Amino acid sequence: MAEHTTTEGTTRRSVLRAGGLGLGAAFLAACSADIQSGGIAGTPASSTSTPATVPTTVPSAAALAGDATQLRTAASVELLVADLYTEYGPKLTDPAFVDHAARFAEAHSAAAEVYLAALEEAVAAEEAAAEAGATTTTTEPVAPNPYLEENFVGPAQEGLVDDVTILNFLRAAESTITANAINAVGVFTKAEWRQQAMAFGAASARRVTVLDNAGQGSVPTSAFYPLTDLMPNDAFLTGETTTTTEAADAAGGADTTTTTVAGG
Amino acid sequence: MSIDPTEATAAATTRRTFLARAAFGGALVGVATAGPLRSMLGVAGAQEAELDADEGLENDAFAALAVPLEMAAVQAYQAALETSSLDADTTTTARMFQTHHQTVVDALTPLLAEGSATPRPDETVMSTTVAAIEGNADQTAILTSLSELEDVLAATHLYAVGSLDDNSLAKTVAQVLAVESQQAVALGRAADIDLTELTPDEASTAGARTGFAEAAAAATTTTTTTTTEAGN
Repeated sequence: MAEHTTTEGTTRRSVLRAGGLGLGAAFLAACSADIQSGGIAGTPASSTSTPATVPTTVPSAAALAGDATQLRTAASVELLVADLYTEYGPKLTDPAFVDHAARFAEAHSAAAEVYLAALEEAVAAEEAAAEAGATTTTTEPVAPNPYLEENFVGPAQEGLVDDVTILNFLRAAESTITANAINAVGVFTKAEWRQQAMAFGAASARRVTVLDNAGQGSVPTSAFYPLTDLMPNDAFLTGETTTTTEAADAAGGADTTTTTVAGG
Repeated sequence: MSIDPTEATAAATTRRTFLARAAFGGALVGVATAGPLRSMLGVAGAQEAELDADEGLENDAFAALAVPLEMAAVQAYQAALETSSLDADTTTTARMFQTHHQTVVDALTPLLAEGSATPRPDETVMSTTVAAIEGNADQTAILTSLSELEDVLAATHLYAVGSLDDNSLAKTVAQVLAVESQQAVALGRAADIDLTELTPDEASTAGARTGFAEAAAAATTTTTTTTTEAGN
C-alpha cells in the first residue's frame, strides 16, 4: 500500500487559501504520467477546538444563504464529476475500473439530485426570511461547476490520455468532494445536512483510496483528512437570484423593478 | 440532551430509499452491509438509524463514547501487531493506523466532562474484535476484522456528525471519519474484499455505536463511586 504524506498544523484561513492551490496542484499533478499521489499531500486542516455552535434559534439570512451556497456548489461539483466519469471511464483499459467508473458516475449523479432537492428547501427558507417586498424569486439552474470546468478540467483534458492520468485526475476530483464536504460541515445550519454531506464526502474519500496511485491504492498518513484539495473560493456558487418587485405607481399602473443580486 | 440509545443497525440501501431521502427530512440514514464483526458487536439487524435534528449531542457525551472506542482501536492494532502474523508492509501500515487512532484519542480526551473517570478501552470491542485478533495466525482474517472495526468507527462518527451541537467539533469528526473510511478501504483491499463492497454510493451509519448518553452517565457514575470510596 502506497503512502501519501501530510504535515500538521494550520489555520482555517490558510486552509481556505491553500485549498485553491491544493486543488490546482492536484488536478495538474493528476495529468502527469508520474504515478505519485494526486494531491492529498499538503497541510491538513486544523483540528480546531473553538466552539461554533449550530444555531438553536432561527438562522440569520446570511447563514441561510450560506446553506444555499454550499448545497448549490456541492450539486455543481457532483454533476461535474459525474460527467468526468461518464466521459473518461469508458476510455480506461482496465475493465474493472471501467465498471467502477460507471458506478461512481451514477453515485455522483444521485448525490447531485439529493443536493438539488435540498437546495430547493434551502432557497425556500431563505425566501421566507427575506425582507418584505420580494414577491417572486427565481434561481438559475445548477450546471456542472463552471469554474472548475474552465480552470481545471479544460486545461487538463489534453493530458488525460491513459489509465494513469485519468485515474489520478479522478482521484483528485474525489478528494475535492471530500474536502468540500468537510468544509461544509462547518457551515451548514442544519445538522442533517452536515451528515448527508459527509455521507457523500466519506464515500468519495473511500474512492480516493482506491484510485490513488493510478488505481494501485494508498493509505492515509494523517489522522485528520487534509483540506488541501478544497476548491478555490471562486468556484463556490453564491447563486444569482432575480427578484422582481411589483408596486402600483401613481397612475395606478404596475411599476416593476428587476434586480439581480448575488446570494440565495 | 436526548439521544436515541439504540444502536444503529443494518439494512439494505436501495436507490429508491436513497432518492427518498432527497429532501433530507429527518436525516434518515440508510445502511449498506453488515459484516461478521458487526454481528459480533451485536449491531446487525434490520432497522435503519434515524436522527432527529433537534436532538443535540454535547461534546462531552460524544467524547464519553468516542474516546473508549478509539482507545479500543489502538488496542486492536496492538493485538494485531503482537500476533507476528502481519507481513512487513502491513505491519508498517498497522502501526501508522494505530498512531492515527491514538491521535484521535489525544484530541478528544480534553472534551470529556470534568471529573469523569479515566477512560478505558470500549469493553465490547475488546471482548469481540480484540479477542478475535489475539493470537490469530491468519493475516487476512486480522485485516478483515480491523477493516470492519474501522467501518464501525466511521459509522459512529457519521452518526455523531448528524447530531453534534458544536459545528467546529463536527468538522473535526468529519475529518476523522473520512480517514477511518479510507483505512477501512485500505485494509479491506489488502484482505481482498471486493471493491464494490468497499466503495458504496454513500457512507452509512450501519453498525454505528450510538449510546452516547449511557456512556456519559457511566463515566459520571464511575467518578461518583470512586470519589465516595476515596472518602471512606
